[in-house]
Amino acid sequence: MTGPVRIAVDGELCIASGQCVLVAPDIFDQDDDGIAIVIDPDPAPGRQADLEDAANRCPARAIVIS
Amino acid sequence: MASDTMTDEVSIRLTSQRDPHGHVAPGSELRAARDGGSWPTFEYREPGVHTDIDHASAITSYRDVRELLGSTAIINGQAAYNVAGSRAQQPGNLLFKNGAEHRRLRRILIRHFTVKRVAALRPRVEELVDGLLDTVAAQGPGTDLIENLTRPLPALVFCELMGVPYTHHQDILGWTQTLLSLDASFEENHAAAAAIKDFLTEIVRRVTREPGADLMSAIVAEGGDDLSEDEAVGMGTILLVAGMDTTSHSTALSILTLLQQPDQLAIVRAAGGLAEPATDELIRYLSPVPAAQLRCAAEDITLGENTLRAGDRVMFSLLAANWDPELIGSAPELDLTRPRPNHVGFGYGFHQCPGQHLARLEVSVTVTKLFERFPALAAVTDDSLDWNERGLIYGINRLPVTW
Repeated sequence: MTGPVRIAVDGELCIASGQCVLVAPDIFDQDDDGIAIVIDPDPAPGRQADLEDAANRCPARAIVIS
Repeated sequence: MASDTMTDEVSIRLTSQRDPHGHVAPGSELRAARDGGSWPTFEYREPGVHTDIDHASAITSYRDVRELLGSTAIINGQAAYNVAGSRAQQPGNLLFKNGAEHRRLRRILIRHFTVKRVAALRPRVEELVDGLLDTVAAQGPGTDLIENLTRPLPALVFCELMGVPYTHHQDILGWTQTLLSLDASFEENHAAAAAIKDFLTEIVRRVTREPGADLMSAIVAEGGDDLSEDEAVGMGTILLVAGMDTTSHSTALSILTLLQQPDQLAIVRAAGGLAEPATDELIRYLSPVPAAQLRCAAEDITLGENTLRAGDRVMFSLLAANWDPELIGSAPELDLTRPRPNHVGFGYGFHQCPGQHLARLEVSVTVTKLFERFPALAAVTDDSLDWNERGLIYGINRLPVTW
């Protein structure tokens, strides 16, 4: 880790499949339309693998972890 | 029947081919196509579209399936089904739409199928399963779990969501079974589609006049002036057709598999039921929807040594991808202790199954409650199973059990 992780969700790309919520429900949620939102923008460093898993599962490739 | 139909290349598409011995694993030609890394073309017939044989390229590796299903260069709908009378022309049927139109329709629907909205349906799904298990118990040993449990459940859930009487569920099951059968004629297929359209048109008109608390009322209200009556009917159609046999066969095959693999059933029992990550492993292993809906290339595509030309038709083997060592390593057999596999059993890309959370819920609740209620459950026999080789959804036609 070189610094705090940045989680970016592109709400225009998101198709509300909810994969990120399945993987990390304490970090991602869905708004009333189903679009993914980040509810914990500063997760513990140990969650990096879950973040990458969520991004990898996203069928719309709407999540970028940097 | 099984071994005869497996060699019928027109009926059994390469992308859906199973091993004739185990009945679940990808067939040898399909595995060879995947592991060889090429995109072979194969013959198929598309029921409800036309009666002629056509050709498509088979995309079979996990990597290629994800890459292309996630790409805007691959499109669905009218471009793939350029035949007069195709259901791909139906307004509102989001499976066959692309780009902005697909996005508009999916957004109206998907808000009702989020992780939390579906979780809120659990108590009602549990009640429906309990009611069906009462019927199973009353019928006694020898009863068919497909007729009395796995097929009725999604139809009852659909009636519940749509706010229509449960008495419609038998009609719904008959129509969807015809639509998804490779043996149904063009005329039979279209008659079933017309019956579904009439049924849903009546619902849409009723909720437009008198909105209720049901899903179709919400869709019509949300769509407002931007959503035509035909589009609302088309959205109802995809909900109805996509949710029935898929869920029923997924549940029935899950039950059968656990009965055949006691070590896996023991894992379920020790966990106090079928958890949803384990449900995903069953969906991966069984791949009840073996192939994604026909697509076509919107432009020339090159990936590695393979190419598609604009207009080429393509079929994606979710089955082969779900058994690809790249996803699952060298042990593709069922392992319910795996972390939730990142499978493509619900598809991938913009059209990934909108109802996937509801499917997981129905499968996990049914399996959990069934084995709680009947701890000594056993299949009556497993050497004469009637495998549904000739459908777009894979499964067995009967599952008689004793306890």
